[in-house]
Amino acid sequence: MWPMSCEELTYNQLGENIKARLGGQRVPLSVTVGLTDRCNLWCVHCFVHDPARDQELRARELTTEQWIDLFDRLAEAGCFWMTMTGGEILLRPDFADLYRHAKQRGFLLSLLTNGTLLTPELVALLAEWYPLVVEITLYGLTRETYEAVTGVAGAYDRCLRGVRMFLEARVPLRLKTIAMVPTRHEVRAMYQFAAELGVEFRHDGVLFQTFHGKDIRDLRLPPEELVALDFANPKAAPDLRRLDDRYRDLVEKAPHDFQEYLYTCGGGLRSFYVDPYGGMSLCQMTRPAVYDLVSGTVEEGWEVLGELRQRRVSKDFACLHCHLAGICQRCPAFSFLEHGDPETVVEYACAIARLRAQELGLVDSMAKELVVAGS
Amino acid sequence: MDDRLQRCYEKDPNVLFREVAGEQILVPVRKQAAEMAALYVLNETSAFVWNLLDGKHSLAEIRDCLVAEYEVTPETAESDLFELIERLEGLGVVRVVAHVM
Ligand SMILES: C[S@@+](CC[C@H](N)C(=O)[O-])C[C@H]1O[C@@H](n2cnc3c(N)ncnc32)[C@H](O)[C@@H]1O
Repeated sequence: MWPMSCEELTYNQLGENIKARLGGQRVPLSVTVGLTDRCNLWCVHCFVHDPARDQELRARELTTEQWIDLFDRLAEAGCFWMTMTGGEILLRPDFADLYRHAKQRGFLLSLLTNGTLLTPELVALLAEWYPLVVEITLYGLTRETYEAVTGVAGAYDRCLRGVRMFLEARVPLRLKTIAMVPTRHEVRAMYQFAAELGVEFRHDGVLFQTFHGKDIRDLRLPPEELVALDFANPKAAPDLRRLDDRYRDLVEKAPHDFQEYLYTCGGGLRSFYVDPYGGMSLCQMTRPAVYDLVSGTVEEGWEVLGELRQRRVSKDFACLHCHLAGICQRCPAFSFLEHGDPETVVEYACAIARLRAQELGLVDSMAKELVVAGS
Repeated sequence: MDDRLQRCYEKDPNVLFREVAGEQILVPVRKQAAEMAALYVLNETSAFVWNLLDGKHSLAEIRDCLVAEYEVTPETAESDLFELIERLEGLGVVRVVAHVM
């Protein structure tokens, strides 16, 4: 208590402090809001895919007042981090009002956007009321690739213009791409491009199946190619290697404690998702929503998520004794989208986990036989 | 009497106070709000003071509130209060708005 103190802290340090203080306690700290599922682009791989002009969907989305009221309630419930995503957030004509209100409630904001709808007014707003970060997905480094992925002529130039506008206004910016068949030949050049701009870059590559029934498996890179790309990434590779020790630990002790429950991620523990209609769920990839925040309260919804997290895996859950579970990207949402069941093995994820383990030398270093699901 | 005790301070409206998982945090939300690199964490007593910096309470009154609320001598409360105010002023997040007689 004495003396009175006022200590400077980075955003990361705060996160670490809070994590250490909370331990396993469930607290709703981080919310992702899907402002709309509609998008002006039409990406070949996208799990969402709702047309920008769909008036029926638009009418169902929360109104400006409803979002604002919800942001107030989320702040009161203790949420501090907020990610705005979609769909495309800049399609909402009231985006500026929603954003400003969230800032005025003290949220630390991350914005996920394709950048193509950026206006000088919005850039000015974000320069003044700065976000934690804006993250733009680059769907290609050339017009051909970008527009083959997104299906919209002219979108490439608008995206790059958006990137430049953010940089000129010194809005904290990060770029990323999705490494898949149509973009694979440009990923390495994108790292170069971002480095020249002085912007952080990363690729994601583990494509989920979609909500609308389109099968995107043929867009996935072969596991060997994806893992090679992961380890070639000069920034991510050291991280992957540093994780080595943690992985080794996870690999060596089995069956894992964390295999007891179906959900082992941050969903419903620290974070959750709100869809464009006010529905609450563990994350953006778990549908349908399990609680209606328009008629209910954040606190009650959080309890519903807590009950979901109590769900245990069944005895014949294939990944139950897998030594690679700790380095595997499979999750219940991934399984559900892949096979319609939250407990099934996702062969693609297995293959990637096995290659990662090999790359890290974990498999060879193991004295005992590995139990690996899906092999 | 130290002349500083008669000052009333107000907070920069672009620096918000949030309580998150038991941490009391100052969050700058806008560019012109002092070029603050990040966040500031207050302990219980400094958060107590922060909430009284409303442009109306003088530092003398805030010192008295501290003495009433916590087990502390007026001398310690006063010198600590000056130190905190100096720090907050240095960060550009509070400013003097009035002197009471
Ligand atoms: C759905 S978009 C929404 C935000 C914004 N419109 C954007 O373009 O980034 C968010 C991210 O999800 C990625 N994404 C879309 N479909 C995916 C899928 N089937 N599997 C994995 N990621 C996907 C996109 O490439 C994008 O980086």
